[in-house]
Amino acid sequence: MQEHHKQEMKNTLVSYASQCQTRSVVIFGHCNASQEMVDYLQGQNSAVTCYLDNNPQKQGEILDGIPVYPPRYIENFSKENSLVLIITKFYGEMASQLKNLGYEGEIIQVVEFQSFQSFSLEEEVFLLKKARVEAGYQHLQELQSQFPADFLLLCPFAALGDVYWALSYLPAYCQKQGISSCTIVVVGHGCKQVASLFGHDNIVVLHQKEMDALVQAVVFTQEKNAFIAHHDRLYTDTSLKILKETYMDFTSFYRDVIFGLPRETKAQAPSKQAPLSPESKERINQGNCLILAPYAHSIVEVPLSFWEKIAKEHQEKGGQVLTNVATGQAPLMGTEALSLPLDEMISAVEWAGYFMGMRSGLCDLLTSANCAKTMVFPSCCFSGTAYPVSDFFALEDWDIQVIP
Amino acid sequence: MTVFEKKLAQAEEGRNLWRKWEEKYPENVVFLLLAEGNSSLLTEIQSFLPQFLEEKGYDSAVILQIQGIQGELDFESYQVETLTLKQGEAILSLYEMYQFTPRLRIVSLQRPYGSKLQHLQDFLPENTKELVRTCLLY
Repeated sequence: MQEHHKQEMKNTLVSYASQCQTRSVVIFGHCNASQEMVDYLQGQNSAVTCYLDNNPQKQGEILDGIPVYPPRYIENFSKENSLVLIITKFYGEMASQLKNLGYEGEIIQVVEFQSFQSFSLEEEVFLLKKARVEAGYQHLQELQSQFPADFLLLCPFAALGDVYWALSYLPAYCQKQGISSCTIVVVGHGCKQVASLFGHDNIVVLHQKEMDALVQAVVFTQEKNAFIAHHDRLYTDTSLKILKETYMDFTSFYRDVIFGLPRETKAQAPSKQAPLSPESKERINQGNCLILAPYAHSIVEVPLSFWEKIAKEHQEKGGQVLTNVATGQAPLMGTEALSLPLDEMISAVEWAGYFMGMRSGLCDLLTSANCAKTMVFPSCCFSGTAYPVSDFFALEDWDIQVIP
Repeated sequence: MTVFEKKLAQAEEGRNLWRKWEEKYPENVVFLLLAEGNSSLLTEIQSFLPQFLEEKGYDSAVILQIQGIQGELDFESYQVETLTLKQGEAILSLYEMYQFTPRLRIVSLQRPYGSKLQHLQDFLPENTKELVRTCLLY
């Protein structure tokens, strides 16, 4: 599960902690997320009585030390003595199924995975979605009241690279649409730093859930003074599916399809990179330091042994090696950790002379940096297409290394 | 009533309409809402629909035509529901609130709102066939 979903899971379970201690806890649906939930519950000394699952192959098995029964087994529980937890994206259908089987107890949606989707028109589901779009509309009105003259650019995910390219093409989009002033709405403070690099002053940071509701409100109200800078939800925006038939790379997709700009449009580079601090200049050997970035959220990582070999080779030639890390990440063996604000990173790699990293949003951010840059890819294809990720996510002026 | 409240009321109306169709038609049909009178799209839809149904395992399709904006195409082989503009907007409003079913396809480059298909069509004007086959009838 993604970090914000894990947090949502914990928040939900904390609010039902006393019921989980005193009632039989039944989990409907066995999956990776439910396994993580079981681990968490067991860590809180809450026992899980059983799984219910529609898959006949799982029924009768013991999974994660817990027996799995068919859904009709719910007949053995009353509303007073039990609680059902559902942590899949099919909450609406599954809750209806249990109600149709006569269950009258509490059925908890532990995490709302795809809050824009629920294949149900049951009253409970409809009211939830209505409340969600109302909450999003309230955010929209607040933003419009706070920035009455601004156009709203929504970057719906906490993905640095997506925000980078959205901001790179925003000036051309604004020119085309006659927009004079923008407020940028992002998820997470890393994305705010990226937006700041492009010189924007009006930047609003939302939580993912707030952003999801806001985006839905923009869709629902057909708000013309806002733009969703992403192929966000694949049921309203199906444009990404064209990659099954027609190849275009990631940045072209942003320019041509998301923003609808002419092919000759140039991306704008960040205008506000920070200079390297004296402390960082002290730490990083100018022109002879390799900064490695072996960690990535959005792509399958390659073994650390690969990076350690690269580090060793550079060190044997007399060079310095630093590992770019975020909170909780360890530097590669034999290297020191480097953790800088994003707005200093361009200056840092230019000072160091060499950068090599897993393809991630950080690479997008360093696109304009003037140094030797290599991005590393696993050998796989982009989501459901026949295109290698090393083609789809390639960037100009970078060397590429693909690891089988 | 504010514009937003009107949209909510439309979504509620869409919910009632869809429930009627759910009762009227068997489970294994797909619904196509023709939300735009774009003749090149509709021609391609009509041509590809039999293959789409076969590939996806649907028994048939129900064509939701909105009065005044449908094309001149022959969908006689399928069940057709004729909607008023208000009813068409009701279904779209519900869909723009959340994806309530996997069995609805909106035949439009601009709706649901937020779709970038018009940009795609502008970028690849010669690729309507691919656009219909991958992005609309998926």
